[in-house]
Amino acid sequence: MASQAESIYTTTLRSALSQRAAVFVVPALLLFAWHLTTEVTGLFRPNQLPPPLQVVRTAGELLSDGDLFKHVGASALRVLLGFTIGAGAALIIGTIVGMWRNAERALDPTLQAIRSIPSLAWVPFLLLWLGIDEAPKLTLIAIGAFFPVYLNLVTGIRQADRKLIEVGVIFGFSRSETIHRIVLPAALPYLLAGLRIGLGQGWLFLVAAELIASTRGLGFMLIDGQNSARPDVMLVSILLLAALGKFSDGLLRLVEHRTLHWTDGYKS
Amino acid sequence: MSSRIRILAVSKRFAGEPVLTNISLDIAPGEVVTLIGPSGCGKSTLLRLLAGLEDGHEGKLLIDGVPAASARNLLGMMFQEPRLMPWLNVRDNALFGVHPAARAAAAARAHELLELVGLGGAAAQLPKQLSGGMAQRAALARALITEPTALLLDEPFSAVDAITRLQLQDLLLDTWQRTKLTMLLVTHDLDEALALSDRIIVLSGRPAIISDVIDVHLPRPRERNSLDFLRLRARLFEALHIAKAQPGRTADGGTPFGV
Ligand SMILES: Nc1ncnc2c1ncn2[C@@H]1O[C@H](COP(=O)(O)OP(=O)(O)O)[C@@H](O)[C@H]1O
Ligand SMILES: [Mg+2]
Repeated sequence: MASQAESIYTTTLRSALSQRAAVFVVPALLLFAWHLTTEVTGLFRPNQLPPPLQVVRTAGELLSDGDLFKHVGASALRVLLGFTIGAGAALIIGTIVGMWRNAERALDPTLQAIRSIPSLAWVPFLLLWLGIDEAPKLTLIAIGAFFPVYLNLVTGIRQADRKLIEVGVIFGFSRSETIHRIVLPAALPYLLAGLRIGLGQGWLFLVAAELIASTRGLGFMLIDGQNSARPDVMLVSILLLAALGKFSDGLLRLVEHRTLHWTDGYKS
Repeated sequence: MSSRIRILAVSKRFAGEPVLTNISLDIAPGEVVTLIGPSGCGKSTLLRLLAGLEDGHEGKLLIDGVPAASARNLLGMMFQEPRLMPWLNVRDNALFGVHPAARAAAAARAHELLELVGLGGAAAQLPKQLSGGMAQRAALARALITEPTALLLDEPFSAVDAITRLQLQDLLLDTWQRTKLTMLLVTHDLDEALALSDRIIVLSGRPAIISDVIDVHLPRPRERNSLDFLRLRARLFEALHIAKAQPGRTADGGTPFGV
């Protein structure tokens, strides 16, 4: 019996380890292919695709002269602020539109029209109205983050179970009690999905903003690398964008995991 | 403390279609009254009107002489589904009707109620972890936390298995014996109606009218195999049979028992 239990334990341990390892298989293969096609065979010339080791070296240099920290810090701060503004506005407007049919009639068609404007179309106007400093960048990121959060929250509020809302009626809840004790918790799974998409959009719109007018940030690094014929710098920027996007999404996933343990969904 | 519920000549239409016509019912403080009748005849509607979940009726609904709309805090309600907030544990669900500012003061009472309904050990569990019977026990604790003087029960045990149903009926009877709350119960279960009620109101027809009233003068707890019980059961069965056969006043001539 004991040995059987032990073997079950070791197999589950082994499978847990191999599940962890599975995460790294595809990135490792890509890295290997990159190394093979540059350093080893020379299929791509260094001025097209610099080898991995050179990119690492460049990253090290940028890190030691403080540039890397400056650019990452600038971009991360912009996304954090823009996302907070956009998601915050979406939380307020989404709740109002979700709760009041009249507000929906008044606001939703206009918001849907604004949503269909491609992100880059905003740039010239934002520069014209808000100058070239932080304000237009934050606004653009906020616009990007706003819509996924707004749309998901309104959907979440709409699908909140009328039967649960009636429990509030029985207890004589006010409108605001109904909203924050029943409707918003019920809409939380949708809201969190919207926040994750919104944060992704935030990074997307960040790059759009930084490509056009900036002196700092990962988008600027990209353009700067292009202008100075430094594909290694461009790659450092691209890889950092990937890593930061993944990392910030991971943080929200953690929040999701912590706050949605009550859902009874498949694999929850 | 228990309330008197008076329903005076109440009629209700949905989109012009009459569902209840001229229903009058006087329920004494501490009385247990059951509504029984074909599906769709308006039993839930009557309870929902009392609870303020439907409006736009004719006639009067009075709780201790006060219009039901202004006496909502006197009523507790249980539904066929537990309707627990899935994001709150059992304890917080039991406390759901308590204003957040008064929660600390109500904590001891919540604890006591959960013990009473047999969920003392499950206070930290989430609704998804509960069986149907446990969830209805939690819903009963939630309904009792605000110390209502009357309970509205809309088929509260119809979705649980037979054995759990018997346990929950006993729990409800215990609750009644302790609190002497006025109770208005809807059920499809003849034995449940006979085991719990002082009076059984048979509704039928469309729009529904009160077609029969059966008084149950038997001491509680009731022996379900006693001759008196079985005699009343036969009487109730007969009343429902007549109610079923009654064509009602449906325009389309649909069967009132149809689902
Ligand atoms: N919100 C509503 N809108 C329209 N019709 C309704 C509504 N609620 C109930 N009804 C109708 O009223 C009738 C009585 O319903 P209900 O009170 O739920 O019946 P019961 O509880 O006796 O089965 C049914 O025919 C039902 O279709
Ligand atoms: Mg019903």
